[in-house]
Amino acid sequence: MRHYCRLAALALGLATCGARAADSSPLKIEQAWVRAAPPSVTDTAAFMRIMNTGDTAVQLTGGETPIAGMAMPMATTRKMVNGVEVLGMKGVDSIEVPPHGETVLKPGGNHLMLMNLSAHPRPGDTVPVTLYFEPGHQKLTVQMTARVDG
Amino acid sequence: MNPAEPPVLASPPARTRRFSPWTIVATIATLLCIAAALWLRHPGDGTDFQYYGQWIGMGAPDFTLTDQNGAPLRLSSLRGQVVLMTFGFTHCPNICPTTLANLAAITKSLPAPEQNRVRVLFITVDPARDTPASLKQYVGFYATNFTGLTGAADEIAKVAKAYGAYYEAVMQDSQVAGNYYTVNHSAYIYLIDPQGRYALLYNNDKLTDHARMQADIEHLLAAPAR
Repeated sequence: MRHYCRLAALALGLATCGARAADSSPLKIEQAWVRAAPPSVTDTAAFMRIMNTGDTAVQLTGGETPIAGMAMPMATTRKMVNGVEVLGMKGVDSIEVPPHGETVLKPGGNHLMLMNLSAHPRPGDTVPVTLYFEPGHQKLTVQMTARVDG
Repeated sequence: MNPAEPPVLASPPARTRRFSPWTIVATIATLLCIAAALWLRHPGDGTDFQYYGQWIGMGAPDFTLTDQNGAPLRLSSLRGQVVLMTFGFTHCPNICPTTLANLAAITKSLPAPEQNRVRVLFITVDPARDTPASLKQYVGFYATNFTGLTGAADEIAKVAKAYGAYYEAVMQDSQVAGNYYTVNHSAYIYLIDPQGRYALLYNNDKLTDHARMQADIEHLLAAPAR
């Protein structure tokens, strides 16, 4: 019986620890949304404002969602070719959120690309997206609404 | 020496003319300077209207491409309408959807009569993957009256060159499945006016100001044919 009590206390302690860890997470996600996509496309993108109240920089390294095969941080590139502005994107290992600062992923800019879609979000759908952060292997699940525009 | 000559010099011909040639030349030069200054102050079609887009004002290079229903579409057949044209591709998850969503918002909030005289053309720079069928689903998702255009790779290249558009296929990181590529491309919006002129050029960033885009469109639709 005492054994069980100790186990229960341990379990309770761990659970409390977990909750406290989540509560004290320096990260906060706001205005998160997913671009609604027509059935013909293979990829879409997630956008959000990531705030970091901590003293150290945090990296968004990727994520997962039931509607896509993978989620990858992408940077929008801009370059001039013979006086013409050319836009593109390239996969990056991570997107940094500075300490006591924020990073905004927005249309036309950096984003979390949801690739190899297995389902195509329609406007108004809710899509759960779990975001991966380093250091500390943090995972944060955010319910994102699907919209056509920002 | 002929003695009759000095009296001719004594009565100067300048007195009979009201202006010397130099005065006329100087006056014309001054008027040209004023005209040039006025034109520079109001670049555009000669009216006082301040366009939001960059005024180009050249004859729009014509082309024929295949629309999302498999039918040929010739640009010059759209006279009388304002045509908003952009280059992109359907596997584009960020820039192109942003462009099309903005163009949909801009055109949908125009008054109905104007809306019916505005066409949006989305020309693929990825004809290898973008069939009329996939373009139909893609552009139709943003607005039912948008037109997606594809064609042979060399036809697309010709149109892009005529409008100064640029694109290049880029292989993505090998961790991404298979031979996945994206296309870097210029994302300007070209406005063809009802007279068939390539009138205005917009940098993609300008699309977010819907009201000013609409003001340009409405001005050009209202302008009498010249």
